[in-house]
Amino acid sequence: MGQDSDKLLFALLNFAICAPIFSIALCRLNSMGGAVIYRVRSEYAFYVGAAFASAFQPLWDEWPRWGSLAMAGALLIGLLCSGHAWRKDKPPTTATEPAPLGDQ
Amino acid sequence: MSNQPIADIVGLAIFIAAFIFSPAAAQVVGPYMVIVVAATIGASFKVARREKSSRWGAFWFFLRVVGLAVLLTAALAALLNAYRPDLEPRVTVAPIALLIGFLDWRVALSKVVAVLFSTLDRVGGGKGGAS
Repeated sequence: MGQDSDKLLFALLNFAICAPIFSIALCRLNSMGGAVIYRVRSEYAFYVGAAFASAFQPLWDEWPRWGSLAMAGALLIGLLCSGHAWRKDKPPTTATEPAPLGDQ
Repeated sequence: MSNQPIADIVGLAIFIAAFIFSPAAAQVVGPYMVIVVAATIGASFKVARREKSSRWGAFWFFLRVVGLAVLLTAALAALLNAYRPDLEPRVTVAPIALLIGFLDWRVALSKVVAVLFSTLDRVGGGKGGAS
């Protein structure tokens, strides 16, 4: 295979890894409903932005290689491993703000 | 790309990638990528703030917010540049897109209207009520 084909394959593979990162992070943001602490919201908001930027980086002539794939893959594995904490689209208690004293 | 028929899955993958990341697409979409990425981050915060909805509902909302940012950012950056020539549009597009995505426009506009009415009250003598 030529160098161009390699570039395109890496780009498509990177896109295929970034797409689930984007959708998992967006689903978790949707499940927050305003009750989640700001640093957790920021974490997932930047995951969405970074996954989008990484997936479409060839559009500004930056082509992903092994390093990009490794980072994106590690991030996807991390999100999948923390899936049980977000089961049934409910944020984990460690991510939510403490309830007002009157509600306890 | 050669004119050979696509024989295997790798060839098909390369064909798809060549279509998505073609130089023609890059030429059209490339300049908007800064705006889109900044708006994506801002819109993510907005999705986290709103009431929980279906996944497709959230995705559709996200697309609308990013679309709004793409439509308005360039115009607002040009407007800002007209008032402050030292602020070049290529510097201001990213923060403007982030703000358009981030801000809750309904709340922001109601605050602006409230400030406007209170200013009018002050100018009119602060009597209030119908006379």
